Amino acid sequence: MEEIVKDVNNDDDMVQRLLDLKSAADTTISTAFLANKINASETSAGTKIPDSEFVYSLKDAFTSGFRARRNKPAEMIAKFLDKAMRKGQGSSTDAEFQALLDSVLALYRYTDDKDVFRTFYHRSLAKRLLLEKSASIDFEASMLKKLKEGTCPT
Amino acid sequence: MSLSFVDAYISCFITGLGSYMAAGDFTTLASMYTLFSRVGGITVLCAAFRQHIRVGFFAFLPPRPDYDVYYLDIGGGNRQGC
Repeated sequence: MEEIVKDVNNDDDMVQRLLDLKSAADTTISTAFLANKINASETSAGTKIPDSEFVYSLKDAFTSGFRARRNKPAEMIAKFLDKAMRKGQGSSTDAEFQALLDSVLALYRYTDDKDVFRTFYHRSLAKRLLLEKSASIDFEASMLKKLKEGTCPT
Repeated sequence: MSLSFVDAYISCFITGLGSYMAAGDFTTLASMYTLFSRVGGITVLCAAFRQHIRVGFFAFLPPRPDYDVYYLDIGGGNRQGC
């Protein structure tokens, strides 16, 4: 994580590499680190869920990893989203594209530099809308709604 | 795959979770999780996982001489040849 964030020569690939790392970690937790469900009813006895300790560890690792470099990760996340919004979903389905956007937003939640992200995101959003460069107004609206409701403190 | 707790413990700290994660060897990781959970060692495994994600595995290892001592110690003094 810190190696990726501090790799100045590969800033352009930072977000994609972080997404890959997060995906690998999520897969590991949901596949290998499974705890028995507490208070399971008789019908769901034996049900396994991802161990919450590992979920918290992952969150902690990403949060502290982002602190290795101030501002830049938040800026790169905003720029990654800008590229994705301009490019559009391409050959992927709506659900796949939405999943990509959600995974990027999940990264944003770990950063402390949310104000930096907002500055870059709002600026790029304004440019996209003014120059009509956005691939989908629906996805733009969806992103704004999510930022307002769940991930953006203001 | 059959692993004793000591083997799993040593595998965790020598080979690192990263190699298993990179290889997608979830069976071994699940075996390690099961073994560690039986002896209340989830916190250790969890710390190794967090450290692997944050800085990569090798930064988690103490300097080599200390590591050797630690390694012998977890064997209860019966692994002197290691």
